[in-house]
Amino acid sequence: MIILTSFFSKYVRQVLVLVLVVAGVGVAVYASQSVVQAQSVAQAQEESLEDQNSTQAAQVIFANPAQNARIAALQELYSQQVAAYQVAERDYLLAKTQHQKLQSLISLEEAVKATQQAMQRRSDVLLSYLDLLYAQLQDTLGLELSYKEAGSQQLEDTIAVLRAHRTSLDSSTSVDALAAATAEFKPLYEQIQRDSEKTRSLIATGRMQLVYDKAQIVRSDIQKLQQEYEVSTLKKSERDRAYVEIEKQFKTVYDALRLVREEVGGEKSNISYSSTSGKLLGVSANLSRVLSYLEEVLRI
Amino acid sequence: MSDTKTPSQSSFAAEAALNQAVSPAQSTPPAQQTSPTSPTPPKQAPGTEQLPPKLSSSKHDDLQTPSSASQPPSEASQAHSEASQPPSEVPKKHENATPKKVAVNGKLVLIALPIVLVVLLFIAVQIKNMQGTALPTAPITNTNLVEPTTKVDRTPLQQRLDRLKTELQEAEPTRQEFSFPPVDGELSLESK
Repeated sequence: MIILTSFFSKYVRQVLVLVLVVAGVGVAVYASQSVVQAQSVAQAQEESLEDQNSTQAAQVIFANPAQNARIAALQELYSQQVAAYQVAERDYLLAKTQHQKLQSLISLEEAVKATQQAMQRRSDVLLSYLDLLYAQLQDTLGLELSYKEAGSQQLEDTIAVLRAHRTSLDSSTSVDALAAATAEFKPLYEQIQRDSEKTRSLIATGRMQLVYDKAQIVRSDIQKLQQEYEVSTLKKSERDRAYVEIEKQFKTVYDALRLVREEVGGEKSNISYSSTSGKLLGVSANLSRVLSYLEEVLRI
Repeated sequence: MSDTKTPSQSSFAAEAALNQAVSPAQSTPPAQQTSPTSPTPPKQAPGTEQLPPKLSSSKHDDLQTPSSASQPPSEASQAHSEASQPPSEVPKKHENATPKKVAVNGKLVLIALPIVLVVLLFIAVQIKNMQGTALPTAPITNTNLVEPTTKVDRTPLQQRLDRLKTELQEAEPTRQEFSFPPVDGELSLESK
């Protein structure tokens, strides 16, 4: 028993020392691991911060904060004016129906006032809409400057005519004056519709062109990056074949975009946005394929 | 090994037991002997039940304490029988160092055990902390399950391609962002 006790006590002592040593080593290992992990996390954070900074810088180049604020303000104004127009239009319809039923001087007076107010609100809505289109066109990148300037000029002219019409409505308080304003507005309204179709087509084409241009830049950056690292001949030929396919797709997109651009930016006055939209959908599908190819080539 | 009493102690205990048997008023039952004033040794292993409670290596040949005199008759008879054993079974001097060793080892265990527990606790906390930093603190949603991998694993070029895809979606002409306002172009007083 004594021998066993002494043996056990020695054994316990040895085990305790061993446990303490193991625990110490474990703590040291965990501490070193946590330090290494903290360092790697800090490094990753620095790298992501640098990436974010470069991204933000690129966005600052492309974005125009002042123009964005103006567009936001115009959108707000446009919404308010649409609401006001809807109220005025309802009053106009009521007054007109009342006058058709009663055929009295009082009902005529009310109908004239309601019609004048509705036409004023309508002009306000259209003016805000054209202002919004103008600002958006100015903000659109990817458009040729000549197209942008021609479209902007056209809008400015239409806005000027509409403003004059809006001013003339203030003094149109008689039946004859309102009839003259109505006749004057008819061609103006058609012009506004044409301008709207054309400007929207220009904006849509410019946006698509911008994505195409950015995709080209990314493609060249990928190529540069991949050329920095030497790879096997097999992999290089695989990459070359991939780039040939990508180039083909780019060419297809470029040709389609050129056709749309020339049509939209040309002298042709009757541009249909739905027609442009249909053509741009095909371009968009091809561009989407190009982006998928680029993502794939990154992994080769 | 179990015989740690000297013959003198054993004979003294036997006499005390006899005295108790003669005067029952003084004797107490074995269960009542655990008074605070006269503590009796607790029940021990069969081989060690004859050890006095305060037995030390230097006092093994001292006189028996008064408490030992009030042993029950059974122990007294046992002690009497042990007294008749030959003196060759007297414990050797070096054997008295064993309890001291056990006590020292016990103290060592008592001191070392909390230290080991504290160290293990510290390691457990460290592991939990390391796991805690790796896990997301926000409630897990489908987007949270995807976003960390995209942010961490995507290279800058892949991120640029992702942004381009988003821009392409925003540039879709079917979005109809600037549709013509809902106005009546034929407002007039005249009936249509």
